[in-house]
Amino acid sequence: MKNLFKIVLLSSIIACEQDITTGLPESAPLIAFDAWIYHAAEPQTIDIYTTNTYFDSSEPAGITGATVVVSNVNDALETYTFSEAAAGQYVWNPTTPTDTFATVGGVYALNIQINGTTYESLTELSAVPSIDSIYWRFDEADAFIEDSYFANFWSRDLEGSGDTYWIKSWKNGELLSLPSEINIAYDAAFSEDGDADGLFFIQPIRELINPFDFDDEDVLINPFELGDSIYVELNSISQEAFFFLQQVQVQTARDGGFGELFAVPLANIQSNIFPVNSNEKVVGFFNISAISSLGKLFTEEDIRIID
Amino acid sequence: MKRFVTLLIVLVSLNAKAQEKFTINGYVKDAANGEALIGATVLVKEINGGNITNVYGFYSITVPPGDYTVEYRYIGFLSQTMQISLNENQRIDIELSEESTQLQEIVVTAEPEDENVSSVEMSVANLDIKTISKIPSFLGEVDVVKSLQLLPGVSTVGEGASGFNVRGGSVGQNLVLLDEAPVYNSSHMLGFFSVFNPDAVKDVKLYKGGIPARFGGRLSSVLDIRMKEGNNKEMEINGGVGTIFSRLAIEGPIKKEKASFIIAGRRSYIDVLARPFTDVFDNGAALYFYDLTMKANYNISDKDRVFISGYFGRDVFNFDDRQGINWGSKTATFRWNHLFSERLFSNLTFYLSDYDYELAFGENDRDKFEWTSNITTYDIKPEFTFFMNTKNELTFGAEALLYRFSPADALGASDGDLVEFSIPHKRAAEYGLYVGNEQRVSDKLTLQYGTRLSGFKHLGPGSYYTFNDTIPGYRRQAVDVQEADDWETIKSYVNLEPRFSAKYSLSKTSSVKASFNRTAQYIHLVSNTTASNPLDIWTPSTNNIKPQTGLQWAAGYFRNFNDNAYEFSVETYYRRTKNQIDYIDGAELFINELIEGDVLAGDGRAYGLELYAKKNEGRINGWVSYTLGRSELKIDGINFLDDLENRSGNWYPARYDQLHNFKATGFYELSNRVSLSANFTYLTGTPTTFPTHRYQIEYLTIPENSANTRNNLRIPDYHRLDLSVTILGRAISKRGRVRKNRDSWVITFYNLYNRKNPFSIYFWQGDERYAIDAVAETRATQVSILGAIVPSFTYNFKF
Repeated sequence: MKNLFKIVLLSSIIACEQDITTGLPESAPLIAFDAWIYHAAEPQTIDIYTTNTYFDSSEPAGITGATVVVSNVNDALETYTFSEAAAGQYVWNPTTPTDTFATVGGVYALNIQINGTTYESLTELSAVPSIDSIYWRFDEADAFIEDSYFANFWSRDLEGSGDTYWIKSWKNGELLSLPSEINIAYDAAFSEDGDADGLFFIQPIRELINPFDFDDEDVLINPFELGDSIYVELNSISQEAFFFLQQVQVQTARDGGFGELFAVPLANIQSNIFPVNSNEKVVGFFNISAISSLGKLFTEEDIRIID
Repeated sequence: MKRFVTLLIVLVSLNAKAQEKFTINGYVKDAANGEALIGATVLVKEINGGNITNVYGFYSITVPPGDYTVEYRYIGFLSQTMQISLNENQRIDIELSEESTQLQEIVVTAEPEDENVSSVEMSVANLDIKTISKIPSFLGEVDVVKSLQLLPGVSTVGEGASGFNVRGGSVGQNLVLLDEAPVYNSSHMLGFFSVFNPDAVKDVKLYKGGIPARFGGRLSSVLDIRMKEGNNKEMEINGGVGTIFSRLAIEGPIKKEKASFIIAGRRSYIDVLARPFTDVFDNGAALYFYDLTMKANYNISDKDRVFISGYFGRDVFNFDDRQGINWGSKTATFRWNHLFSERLFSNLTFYLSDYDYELAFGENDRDKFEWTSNITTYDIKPEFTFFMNTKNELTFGAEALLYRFSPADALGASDGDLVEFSIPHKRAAEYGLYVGNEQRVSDKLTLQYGTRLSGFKHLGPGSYYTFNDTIPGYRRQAVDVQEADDWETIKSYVNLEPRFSAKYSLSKTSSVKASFNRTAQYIHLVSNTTASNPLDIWTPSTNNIKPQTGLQWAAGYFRNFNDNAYEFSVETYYRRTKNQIDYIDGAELFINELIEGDVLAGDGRAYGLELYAKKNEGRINGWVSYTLGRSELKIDGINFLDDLENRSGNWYPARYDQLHNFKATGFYELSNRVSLSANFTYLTGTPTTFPTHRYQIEYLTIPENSANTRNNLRIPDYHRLDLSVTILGRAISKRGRVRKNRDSWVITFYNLYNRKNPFSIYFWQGDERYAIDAVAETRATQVSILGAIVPSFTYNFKF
């Protein structure tokens, strides 16, 4: 993905940017759901709140008094009740240390009731392949980069087309959480048309687990030095969630500069949570991910020569 | 068609005999280089009527026998008058000489003095290359397309954006023709320069309305660029050394007065210049463009002349020797002018036009991604002009095009495993049949009317899909797929496109004009980005995408003052369009076989008022233009506000809607050798969509426009002043001889007062990393593509 930061360099030749303060059009707030939860033996939280205006960075106001239930549509006995732990924060707690939330292969319904209105959503919990190994690739310094070590994770997409994933990574314990670091895969490639079923994740996806930070001269800073640690998490996500994140990426990862010539206009992203008896518009998403992960401390043995 | 022509010839000869009339015809050329003069006036004084030369310099006038005084006029040239005793058909080819140099410098137009008032043409923007070359330009590079933007009704969404917008139309609704071949992307370096080499361009004409029946295929405008034929008297070399690129053009006779050629090339060399100072380019990185324009012609006989011309250009943007983007156009045009009789002029054109781009990523052969995309067009186009009498000039012809679209041929490799994922090619045919007449009803009233019958066929081979219906704005799913055989018609469309213009002279110096035209467009530029860019793809009308159609009405008042020293015009226009294309939120436009499921269609409307005033003479001359305009779209699924049930669209301003568009261009001659040029631009900020709210998933803060509006606010206004100084080299050598070699220095300051003009505003959460569930600080950032004054220096020469 060297090309990405070279584009950034070339764009900085003439284009310039400045942060501005601007008013926003007035309009009504919406109910928002953050129902992005995991197949794990840990407490799971669903947040329900009223949206803040765009520039308001305070904690949004939670919506209290909702009932929140996730249930397996094919197994009436498998039901998870979330109870309100704080205003707008609904939590499911495991009853035993091995009590894991949801079952791989299950289809789950989310049912939320707020003041007599019911909101629903469906998702399927898919399996996730394991991460086999992590290596580092060395790239010699040039005008665009320092001498650099790029971490690569090796994992093969599960057989059968249509598996979708979100890959997250942490360097020395810090989550790489920039919108430009959203790393999602459809089978082993970027999109449905990639036709990459059952392959190793393609190289750009393998390498998007690195931090791409630049110094003042727009030269890429070596992502990893010996002794640094990396932790990579592979999350299975629903296909709907993949398309959702694809759009989140378009809307939030803004390159600025010349990149704006190629930017698409701001557009709303469709939620997969709907009110049952009205057209009320809500925002947010419901997804359950299975997790596989691998961590590694970077030593000389981990350098792999790729020709 | 052949039988039709024969019939016409018979009719013509019968006609001639029956009324005992004779024809004067021929070509009007520039005495200095033999170039045909387009739009020269041939006036028969006795009947106070005549003809204007066509794009090949040809004229034909048929009158009863008698003695006539015929005057040949072309602005900037000395008029010639001939006494003719007409008792048989006469061929008169004439060469006009330029007026003296000093006079020439004050002329800013090549139109006959009162052409703007007297011609039936309206809504036409015409700039001659001499004027264009005096306008201050970005990095000193004379630019045909940018210069047109100084005229009313023409604009752009900002620096770096490809193409231009005419009367509230989109970039993809302009038909850009270089020697009749369409150029699918008219920009170099994204949108900073246009692909037309000024050294090879002879004539530039933009039809914003009142489009003659011979043009078809795009909705809003036709930019007709004609290349020089090449000096057929002596060798001539023109060139320039500029800040970003250099040009060289060689032209001359192949066979004196019979055949000539021109070859003009340009290449940017920022990479070459930068190499000593940076190692950026050491590993194969590249950033350059080049183009080559060629033309040759041969006068086979008095009746036949052939032309062959071509363009080849490419932009290359490589990150290293394996990775990068490049794009470019190729055109080749073959033309044959043939005189079937003194009064029946014909031209047969065959052209090929191709646009393609190529992307390549990947560090090595085991892991890579390569993608090419292109559109190829072949066209054959016979055209006829029948100079019926001094009152009627009939044009008719036909056109047949064949398109091949390959949106994406892609190849990927992951750790050595190859994957091919190409979108099937599409094939389509388009045809047109037209007839038009320009009729001088009286000394005061002239009409131009005609119609074009156009049709389109989406052809096999290939799969075609049927999509389900959904609430507008959601992706439509393919519910059925069928296979078409080779050349099988999948879907066809037909449109009748009436065209009409009228001019009524109020006096010798003023006229009113009105026009109406219907246009149809069968291929669509798919672009969802803030500005049009080289990666946009063209897609045909299909069983799911209907052709765009438009109706335009325009009316205007034209007035000249002080013996044509001042020109003034006001025009108003109104256009309604159908099947305007837009996209669902989250549309996938690249490498998507089911792209039709992401396309939305709706209505458009554009209206405006254009004012134009021009001073033609004096040491200070120039023009001001102002457009008050609106361009809006109404598409179900977009801007549906609170109609969540049906999502019916409401009118919203198009991305290129600019209420005020003011331009002023001035030239000032300080002395015989030093002149100043300046231009000022003011444009209302373009509309954009602002978010109203935010929400969060994991650590991602997502913007939301809770009112479902599109283009609900505007970015700040755009304004800019450019200045240039031209210093001509000495015309007379120190020994007192006239120098054959001429040169000039041009110093240009683009964006003189250093304004950071906004291109767009975007909303984001900044570049800090947040932990899961932490609340991000959001911000708005304004981007200026050019954030500073850009000085430059160019040396031009001619020998």
